[in-house]
Amino acid sequence: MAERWRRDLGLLDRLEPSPELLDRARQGPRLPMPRPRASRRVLAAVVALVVAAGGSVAALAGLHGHGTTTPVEVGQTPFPGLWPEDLLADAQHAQQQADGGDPSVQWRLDPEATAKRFAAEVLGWTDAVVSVADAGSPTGVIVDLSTLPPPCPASGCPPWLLSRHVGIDLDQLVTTGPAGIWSVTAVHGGEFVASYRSSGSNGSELVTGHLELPLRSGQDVASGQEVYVPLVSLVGTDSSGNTYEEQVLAGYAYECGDGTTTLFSTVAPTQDGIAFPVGGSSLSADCAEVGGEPSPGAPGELDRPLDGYVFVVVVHGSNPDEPWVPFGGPPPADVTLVAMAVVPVHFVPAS
Amino acid sequence: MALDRLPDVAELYRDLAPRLWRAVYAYSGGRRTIADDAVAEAFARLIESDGAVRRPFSWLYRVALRIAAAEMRRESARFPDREEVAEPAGLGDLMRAMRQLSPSQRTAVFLHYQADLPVRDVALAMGTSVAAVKVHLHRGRNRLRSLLGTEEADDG
Repeated sequence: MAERWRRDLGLLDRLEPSPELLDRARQGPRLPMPRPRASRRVLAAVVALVVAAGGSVAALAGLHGHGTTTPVEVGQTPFPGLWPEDLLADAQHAQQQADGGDPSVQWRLDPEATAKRFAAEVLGWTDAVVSVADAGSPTGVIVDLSTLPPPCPASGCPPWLLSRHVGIDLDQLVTTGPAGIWSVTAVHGGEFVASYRSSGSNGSELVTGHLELPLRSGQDVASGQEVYVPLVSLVGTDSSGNTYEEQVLAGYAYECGDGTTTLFSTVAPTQDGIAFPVGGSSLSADCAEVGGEPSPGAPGELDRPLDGYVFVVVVHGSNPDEPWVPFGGPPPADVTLVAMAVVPVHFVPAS
Repeated sequence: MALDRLPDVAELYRDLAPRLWRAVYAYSGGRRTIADDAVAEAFARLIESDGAVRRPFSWLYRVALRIAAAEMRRESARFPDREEVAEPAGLGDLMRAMRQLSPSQRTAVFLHYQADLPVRDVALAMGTSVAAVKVHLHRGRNRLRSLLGTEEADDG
């Protein structure tokens, strides 16, 4: 079935720029150079939750200047990359750019710089504190990211959220050693600390929330499998008396060729957490090859194995009609990301 | 400025400017003036850089889109209620539908499906990650599908 929007896009070829633009360009710039957007306001009161293993920074530094460069063997195992690339071919392309000395990808050679970039571009934490929690393997490190409280709205500052913290795994997936680029391969929800007044109570209490997906990176997940996540959900009022309710968004994504299909699951509350099904949608046939267009098929079981990931995000202020999607850019200014966990998995047919 | 040392700017302009201009046109939701200004300005800065830009393709896209975004913000601040967009003949439905998308979705959809750029080149042009482009494409596609439908539905 031909889609009209694709045909209509071709109509844009009829349009041409004004003929004098090159002459205008040769007369020199006329407009002020746009400045990057201002970073978030940094608040003075900071309770940063940083988990750093002693000596880990030194261990990380040891990764940079030494060792040999070795191509990673790529077999039939699923590609575990989440960010910046979720496909092996894209990661190999980035490695080639780095090998060629492309300055735009040199930050990929430093896991700490990669983590900082991830914090800004995915979580929206431009002021993240980065600390290496574990550099136990020469090709993989675990980095903790923590951030300051979100900026105060003009109406006043509800000091409910004191700190947020996630852990991310970084690995060298194409080439190991000092010339190898680093990729984010998992996001652990970590912890957040909130000053919180539950519904019906008078006093505030300090609550520590923790989010962790009970899945291993790269593990097989059967189509339709239910994932259970223990989670403290905060519903009540903050210490300024404002109504506060978190939104828990959970689901999964299929990765096929040039596209990622993100599907939100129906989240069912349980006694002490949430449960949601993953991999419960079939896919249309064009997701079979790299370059194919992904589109969710009818509900039903997968008929073939497929790479993807499972995610849970805890947010505040997200538009229910168009919820914030992990890896779709940082959350907009009116959305606060409280916690996030993402694990790449290998979806397989249930039977 | 050393125009004589950049003999390939005219060639680059001929090869790249129409597609770049259409990308900015799509990004701005169909504003010709913004597309003209952004493309002329991006090339002006390329000329001014005097050969310092190593990858003019992605550089021009990023600069032109950034300029267009600034112009749109400026226009929106000065004329918050103005929505003056003249639709070229035959493009009304498409541009109305495109304006329902976010600017990033519009740009990703245009560059990937109209200009045939692979996703990683779209990411380079937009100055974002491959994963983010995929999400923009997914959402943009779904939105256009729901707004414009299919040939059969349209004809039938």
